[in-house]
Amino acid sequence: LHYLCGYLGIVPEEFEVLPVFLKVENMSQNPTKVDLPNSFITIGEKQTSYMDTDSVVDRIAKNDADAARALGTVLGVFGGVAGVVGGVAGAVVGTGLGVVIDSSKTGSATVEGHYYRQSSSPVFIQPKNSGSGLVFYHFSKEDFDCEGLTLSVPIVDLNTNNISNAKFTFKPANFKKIKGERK
Amino acid sequence: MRQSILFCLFSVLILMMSGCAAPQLKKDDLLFEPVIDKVISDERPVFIYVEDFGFAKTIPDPSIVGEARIGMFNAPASILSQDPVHTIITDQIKNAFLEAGFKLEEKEKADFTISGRVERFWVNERPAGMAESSKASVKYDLIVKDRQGRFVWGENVIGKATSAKTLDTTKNDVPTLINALKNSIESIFLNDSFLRAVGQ
Repeated sequence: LHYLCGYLGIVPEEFEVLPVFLKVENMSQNPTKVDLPNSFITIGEKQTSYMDTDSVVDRIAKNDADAARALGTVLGVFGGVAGVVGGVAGAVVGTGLGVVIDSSKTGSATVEGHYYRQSSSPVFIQPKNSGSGLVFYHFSKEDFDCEGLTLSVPIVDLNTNNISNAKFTFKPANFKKIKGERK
Repeated sequence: MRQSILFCLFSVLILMMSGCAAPQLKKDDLLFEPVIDKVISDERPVFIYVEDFGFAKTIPDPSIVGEARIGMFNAPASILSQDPVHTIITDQIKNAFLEAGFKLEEKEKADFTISGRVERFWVNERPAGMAESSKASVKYDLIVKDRQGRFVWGENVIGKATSAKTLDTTKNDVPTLINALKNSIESIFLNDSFLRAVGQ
């Protein structure tokens, strides 16, 4: 995580952004919408909110001149981020880690362009289909040593307008393992 | 004499710090015409109802649409809009559907109801080598439902625009934002899945 964040300019201590790989499968009979702007992460009694990809890129460009230049340069090497996989109207498929950005597949795209392409999509998911990609959350530097965190993602049934909440719990051990591996 | 020099220096300093004012998005800026082909024929009219759009939590203040860098010291200043972003999008979507040949109708009588939520409507200035450029992005959900309230089509519509590089890009901020909005709206009517969904 540190490795990826550092390369892209997301230095958690400075930019306080947590990238998460999210995959949602629509196992219901109706089309659904993944309501990312209303998703959040709970850390103890604290809640931290979703950041859209443009805001993440803006934050990087604003705070770090080197990172701002990197956004316009050719890609180099990427690492992995924390990942969760979940199913709508069904059981959670699994939680864990996912290496989502592979340098061998990025070609000559810019870092910024790659960010957009890797963002979670589609948010409108037909039955038996899935959407996946990167999602970003505000994350205070002191929370990187937290005991555990839970990601809550509202899912809207587009025919009935019913809203269900998909919850994914990160294992702190896995979270720290990534940090350790990537240092 | 010394007091006069100090006064002049102070005045110059104030001028350098303030520079020009931040731009504002005015109603007149929104009188642009998107390039949209007529997709609905007069012989087979399609009636729609457009609900007022909302805005997501990602927009803390719908009357602020960007951040300019003004004056000698590039001080950040909010770009304000006369209308809130969700009103702008609602109005522009209505205009665009009319341009494409759809007809507005009351909700009960309409073939389709259009609704949505704005997630981003923002322009800011980025360094580009020795110069800088304005960068804008517009993003909103667009949902089409039939008369029975069943989902027909939905998309996270995105429009982006970047101005040419210049030494002071502040004057390009609002036009770049309008371009991003225009791009987003035009993309809807070029989307085959949308046209199929509304029976064209």
